Amino acid sequence: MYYVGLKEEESKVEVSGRRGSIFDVEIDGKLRQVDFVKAENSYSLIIDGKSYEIDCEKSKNGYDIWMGGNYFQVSVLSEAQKRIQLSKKGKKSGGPQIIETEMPGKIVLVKKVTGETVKKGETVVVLEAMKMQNEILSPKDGTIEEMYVKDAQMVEASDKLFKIK
Amino acid sequence: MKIKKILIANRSEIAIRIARACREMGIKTVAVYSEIDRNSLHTRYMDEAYYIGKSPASESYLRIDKIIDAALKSGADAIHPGYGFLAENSEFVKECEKNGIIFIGPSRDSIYLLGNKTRARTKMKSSDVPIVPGTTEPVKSYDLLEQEAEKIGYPIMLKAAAGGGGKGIRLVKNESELKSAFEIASSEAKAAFGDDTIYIEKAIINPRHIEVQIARDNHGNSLWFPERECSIQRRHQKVLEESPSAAIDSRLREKIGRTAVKAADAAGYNSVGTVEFLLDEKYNFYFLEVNTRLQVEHPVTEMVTGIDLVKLQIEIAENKPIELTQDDIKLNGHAIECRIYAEDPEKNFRPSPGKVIGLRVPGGIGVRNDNGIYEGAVIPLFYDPIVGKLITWGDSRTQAIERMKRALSEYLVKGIKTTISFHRKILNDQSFIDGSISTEFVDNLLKIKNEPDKRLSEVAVIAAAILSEINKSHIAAGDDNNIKTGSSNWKNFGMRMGLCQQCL
Repeated sequence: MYYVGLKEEESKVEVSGRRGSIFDVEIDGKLRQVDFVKAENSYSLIIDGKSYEIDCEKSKNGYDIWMGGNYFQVSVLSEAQKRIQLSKKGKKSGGPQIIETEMPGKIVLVKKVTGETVKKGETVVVLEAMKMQNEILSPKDGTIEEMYVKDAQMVEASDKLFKIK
Repeated sequence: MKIKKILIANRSEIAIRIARACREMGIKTVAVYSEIDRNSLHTRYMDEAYYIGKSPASESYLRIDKIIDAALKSGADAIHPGYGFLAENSEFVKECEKNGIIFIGPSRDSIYLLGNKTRARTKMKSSDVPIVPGTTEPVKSYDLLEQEAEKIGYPIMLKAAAGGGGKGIRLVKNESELKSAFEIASSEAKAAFGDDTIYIEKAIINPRHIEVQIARDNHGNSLWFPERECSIQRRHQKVLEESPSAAIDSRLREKIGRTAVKAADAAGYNSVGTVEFLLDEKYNFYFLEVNTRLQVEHPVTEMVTGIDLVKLQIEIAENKPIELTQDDIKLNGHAIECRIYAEDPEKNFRPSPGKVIGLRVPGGIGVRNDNGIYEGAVIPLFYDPIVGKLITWGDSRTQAIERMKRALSEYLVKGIKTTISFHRKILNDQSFIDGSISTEFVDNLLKIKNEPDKRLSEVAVIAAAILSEINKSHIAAGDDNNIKTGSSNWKNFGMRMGLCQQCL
């Protein structure tokens, strides 16, 4: 059994059997027979006579899937992983939050200093990437507990920018 | 003078586009490249290539001295600047002239006049070309800005006097936004153009962005082409363009076209160029600016007229008179261009530089690809996020749209995020299909939540589960290399499945 997430929805999917390239797949209780084969760089699926061409890459939590110009970020959890996720839930607290940059670039402006209070949605740092200035906003009302970057610094994706309490 | 060798002082798709015209004309091409672009497509496509410095543009593609050096070393007769970088820099033109190199673009005087938006506005006003109300002088201080803004009345646009390409522009709806907008616009202008001068225009509500391609030679001959509709913009950056505009009939087309030529005449323009206008809801049009370069979206004009604008631009630079007459410019069908940006539309269009690990470009009738990437290419974070342009032609607007939707469904880029899916959203939107658009279109569209196709979503979910199952059986068989798309893994798949039936 797999817990497969796409956007906000999660489906329970069981791959229950296989004959040659035909897989028996149970998705939310409905049984589908899926003919699943790999071509050079892509996969071909035939389900109930309907043919789908997909490309996929393994991602951090599952698979990135491309299909007819559509792009799907799909997460997959095994039963064991799902149990761990459930046990972790509810432990979230309102403690300090570290804001990381989602993209590489250059810090062009640090607008707040450590100890300064900020409002939700206020610009804290301005990051330039691919010639556009991107304002990094505070996710909540609070105080800057630590500023990890300075003007003119180059940052990589997922580098820490600041900590807010 | 016949040009025999051109140095192309640019990179990516536009450098390739220009080199393609050169190759057809029997002109040798010289590439220049920064450190990170050694393996980029433009470096590899041309006949010669010269290294010009480190990756940041300020140390390479903006270094006039190094580019002139490369031109002299290679013996190029001319330099084509493409768009962006030094394309509208009159200092650069001066250095070309000083070294006896032809600059493929308008004269230094035209660039000087038109490159500065406040000078251009003053000139147009006096030449009877209608302009957007606002200041014709740069605003020198924040205090003055406050006063002028009050006088003109909100909403206003702050614009970089040296601006272009959507940089250094901010809409200010009311006074409370003025200070922050001023800071951002000035600093963006400073970073993009090395000049933080700002001026004010009254914001026109729900305008269409209409522009006219013109060509004018050294002998005073000029042409205008059917308009391009460029209202589909995000943060003042064009996203999708088409020609002709669904809003313009042949009478208005001719009126705007003639006005564009009037603007070119006033500036003594001598190259291909673009006169941009805003069209308000009552079909009044106002001069916005002249882009004194080849535009990103020039292919839609080429598709509906059959004229190679780069070739025309080179011939004008050779001092040839334009052979075409206005009657030769015939509007044939409809063309659309989708700019493919390395941006993630799911995450507020944040830049997505990185390595392209998979690429399949669309083909078939009426499809044109102007690309700067290949499978394995790396998209650097130092430059514009545009990685390519997809253009379709159809005998009607409807057919061009249908064809674009079909082409986008074939388009695959893996490794980086792109705006392909966002273009599909635009093309499926009813207001777009009806042609009732304005520069507000994208902001409105972004408010609509994406409704994923249920059937395709289920297929994606099923595929992910099957892949996980296959993957699991690999791990069970002692193979901890995940199955990505590597064929060797897959070759063993059947055998492994046979070996570990208990996994299923």
